[in-house]
Amino acid sequence: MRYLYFILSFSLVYITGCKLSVTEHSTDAERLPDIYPDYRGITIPCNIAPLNFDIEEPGEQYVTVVYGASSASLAYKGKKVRFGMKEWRQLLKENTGDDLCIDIYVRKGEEWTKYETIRNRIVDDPVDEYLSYRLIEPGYAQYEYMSLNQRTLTNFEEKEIFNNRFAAVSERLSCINCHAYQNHRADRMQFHVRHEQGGTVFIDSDEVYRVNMKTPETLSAAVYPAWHPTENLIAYSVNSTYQTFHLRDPQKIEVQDRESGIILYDVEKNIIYPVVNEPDALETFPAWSAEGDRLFYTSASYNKDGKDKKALVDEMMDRYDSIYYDLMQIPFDKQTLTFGEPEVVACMSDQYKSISFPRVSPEGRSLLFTVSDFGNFSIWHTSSDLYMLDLESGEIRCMEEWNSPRAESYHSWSSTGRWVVFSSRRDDGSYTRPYFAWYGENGETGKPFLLPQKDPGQHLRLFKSYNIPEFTVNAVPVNLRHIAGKMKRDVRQAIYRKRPESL
Amino acid sequence: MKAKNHLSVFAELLFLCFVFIRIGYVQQDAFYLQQELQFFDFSGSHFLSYVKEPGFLVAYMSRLSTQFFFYPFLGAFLFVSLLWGFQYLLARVSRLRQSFFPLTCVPAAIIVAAGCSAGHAVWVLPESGILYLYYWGAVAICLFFLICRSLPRPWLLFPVLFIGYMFVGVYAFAGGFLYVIYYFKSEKRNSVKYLYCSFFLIWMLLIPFICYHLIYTSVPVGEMWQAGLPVFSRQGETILSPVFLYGLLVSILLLFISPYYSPWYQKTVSFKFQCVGTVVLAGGVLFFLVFNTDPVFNYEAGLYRAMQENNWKQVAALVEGNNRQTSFSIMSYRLGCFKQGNAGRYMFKEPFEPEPDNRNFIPGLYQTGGNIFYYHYGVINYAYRWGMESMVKYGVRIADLRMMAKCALLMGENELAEKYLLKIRSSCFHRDWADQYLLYATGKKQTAGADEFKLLFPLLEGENILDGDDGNIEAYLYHTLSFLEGQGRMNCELSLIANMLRKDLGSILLLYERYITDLNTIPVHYQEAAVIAAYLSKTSLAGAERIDTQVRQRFAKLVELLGQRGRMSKEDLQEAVKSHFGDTYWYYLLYHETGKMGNTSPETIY
Repeated sequence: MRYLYFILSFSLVYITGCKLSVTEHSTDAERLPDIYPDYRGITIPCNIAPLNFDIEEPGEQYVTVVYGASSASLAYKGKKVRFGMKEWRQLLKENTGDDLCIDIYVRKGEEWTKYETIRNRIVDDPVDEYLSYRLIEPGYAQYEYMSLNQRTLTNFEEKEIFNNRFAAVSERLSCINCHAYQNHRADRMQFHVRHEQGGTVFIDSDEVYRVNMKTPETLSAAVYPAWHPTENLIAYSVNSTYQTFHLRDPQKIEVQDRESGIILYDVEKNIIYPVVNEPDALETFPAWSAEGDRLFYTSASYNKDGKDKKALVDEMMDRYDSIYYDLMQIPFDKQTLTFGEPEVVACMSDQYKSISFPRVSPEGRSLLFTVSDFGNFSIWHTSSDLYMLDLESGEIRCMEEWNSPRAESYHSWSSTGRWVVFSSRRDDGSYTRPYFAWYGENGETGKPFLLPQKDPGQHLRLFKSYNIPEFTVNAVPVNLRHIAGKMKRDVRQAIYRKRPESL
Repeated sequence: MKAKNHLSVFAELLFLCFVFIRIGYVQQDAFYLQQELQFFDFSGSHFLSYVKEPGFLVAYMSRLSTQFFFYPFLGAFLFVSLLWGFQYLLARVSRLRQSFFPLTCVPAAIIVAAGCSAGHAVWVLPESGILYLYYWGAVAICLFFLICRSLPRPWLLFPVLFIGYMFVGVYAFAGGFLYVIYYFKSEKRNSVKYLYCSFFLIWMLLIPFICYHLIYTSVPVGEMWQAGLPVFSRQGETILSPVFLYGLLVSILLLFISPYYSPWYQKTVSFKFQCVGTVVLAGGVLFFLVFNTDPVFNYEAGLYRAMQENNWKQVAALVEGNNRQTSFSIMSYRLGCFKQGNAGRYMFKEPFEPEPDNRNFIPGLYQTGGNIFYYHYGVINYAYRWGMESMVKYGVRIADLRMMAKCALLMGENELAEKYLLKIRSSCFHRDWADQYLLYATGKKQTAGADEFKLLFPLLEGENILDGDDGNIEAYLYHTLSFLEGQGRMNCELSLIANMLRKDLGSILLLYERYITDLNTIPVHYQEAAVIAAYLSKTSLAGAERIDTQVRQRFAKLVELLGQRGRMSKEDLQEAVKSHFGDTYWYYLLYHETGKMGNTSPETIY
């Protein structure tokens, strides 16, 4: 603490000296300065890692002064503004509920310019401690090294949960995807491994095993997961998927389902039950309600009309931009593991729009989803935007403050429901980055901000996308070697049943 | 005595000259390509990206050195200088007498042979600086031995081996092994030397396991034993033979242990013997220089480089001056002709026939820089795609970054282009190139006005469809271009060419009719295509009066020749058509298999 006081006092003295010479001669730019990442006017949690940034204004000398209503000022010299961990925490602590102000002075020639004060709001809603994501190139059909990583959001620590070098058989790397947790707790985690040694890997505390979810009765192995909030049940989509490429459109890639449906997997009993698989519909993206009494999913009507696979694919490729998914729900009885009749919750196909990735907030009031112009591979659709459905009033709201002209796609809620992380391609149109947005108790929103990095330039240098960002309140309890060793030894085959034994 | 020394120096100079010629001249395009197929910058983050793997220094140094092949002569000069340094180091390690110095040429020649023989594998190597991977590995062995030998206490070898492994991987063990031999021979106390040597060897076995458990937690244990080595196979398929590595290790070991076991090694060698040795060495190197090449790869690398530099004259000249053709060279030639605006006159001038692939490792065309064709024919999404696929498979490479940056600029994705260009800019030798294109990305210059781009924009027009090339660039490209219905003569011509290559006679007639409107001179190949298409379709040819007399006469002769098919074997008939009409579209249509889409045969002409 004494050390901190020393730094603060030293900074104050330094600032005073600096400010005197800078402010006396500075002229106002009457605009906000350009900084990377765009941390201007954002709303941030009271426990986030330091929001380091680089000033992108031309100049010869730079001075940045950071202060709040309840704290002393800190000054930084240079284009690269890097906060010390302790001073940053102190700043957040002293200014929670208030604004964190940033003044930037730039010298060009003999003249100092002062830009408008950047005001970032610090809210008393802490964000979950961890964020996990897959790091992967925004590639097409090829893949090589990929990893599931876990980042601590209160500092800059990042570690690999798993990487596909550990799943390799005879030098052939497998694809790893679709990690999911139960109720934001990393003690229960699952992810898929494709190709050799394929299956779904389950982590339950320190128990790790792999399940082959493909059965003769199911369309495919398990794909998009949704873990039930209270029971050890996972709803999955099963998809017969194919990938094609746009000849001229900058959206480049299209992934379509030739067939799809929803299944329920009882993790403890290792049994798969069918949920929905209508012959003239494509169902995917399951998501549980907060209480687990309803399962949401998206569904597109498609008349397959007995067409063979090739004819169906050819037709779907021709009609790719006229396939629209609506939001559905189906009641669920967790005692009997039975489902009721599906019903439409939000119909957007009549507006020539398509819904993907429904996710219900932990308190059960709101449902966040992605809307794009067609299809379900919204990550590549520039039209993809986030929308919020109020489950009580049925009102749908476009999250304009969160959206950009480029794709906003996959998203997840924090355990408190006050924060949302979503993947966005707003920076360059091709590489997805995780953005965090505040969602207040009464539906207020804050401008989203990019995942903070020790060196923000890392985002520009990284040639990988952050895929499927998911919050967790704790760290994954086992390391990747433990996972690799166990998943090779403990392999199970899921069993298919048409209906639960209770019936 | 002086004459003997001079002879040794002469032999060494001779060897280095051969190496310089081989790398800087004979294979300059191949080595230029190697630096294109990798990326290096001096930033701390780039260095740190290597540190997380054991043996990182070998890969890091190899990439650092390979980039100098951007200027092939500079790269070759640097390599030759470094090679001499290695020989000097090796001579010190093995305590060679000066007259035996040329013996160090043996491991040096193995390094050169390993680097120069990579050939087509270079396209798919994750570490394209293969020459320097061997080189720095060999240097690491020697340096590590010298470090060990200078240790004041033998037990210090334990930590030094550990640290050495982290820096240079298993090469540290090779150096350590030499030291164990040295220690074994120099230590007089039997009990001590047996004890130490056993522990050293056991320690070497244990180090990868210890590192695996304590330091490199993200690296599988199997890879710990290959730390620092080149990647010999991918996805279970051998791409490089490890024989050179074994040769290198054995030759260094033999040189090292010779003083201990060869009595002749210590004797003075006669001048005559040295002369014979020098001649044998020179002969061996000359043999290697002349015969151990991959001419097809060097040829394709030259074409690739010429296309990268938009030097279409050079492309045509290279193909016309070469007897052996490949799918890549034929596609390059067609593109070159089109870019120079004389496809209609020269494209079928030669009866180009690709050689059957007989390489040990055959990467598909899409992996051999095939996206350059997509780019120049305006199929930009696919050019970008294969740039990205390549980057995913083999890591960040200059060639892929370049391609993706240019594609992004064409598609109006300036921020994306900037990302790639800034990366390229951080390299040593490509900064100017990146700066030039950054002007477009930052909006200081317009892509629409740029010479390179303005011809491509019209090709971007047209309907968007979902499709896939299945990795067959040639077929997909011509298929796509054959439907290029955009505005303007260029699109029409390109579509006509594509349909000619695909042997779609109906489309040829339609496009020909459109193409010749307002055209003064009709290129000869287009006339040939129109004549035979009309003939086979049994329709009248629009603008028939504009067909040159020579074309009419030659076609009549062709029909006459094919009429004799009953009296000639198939092979003889093809040979006759080839000798008289090998420079026409007709020969392509009747006999060429590249197109494969058409089913025209000499029988169908009647």
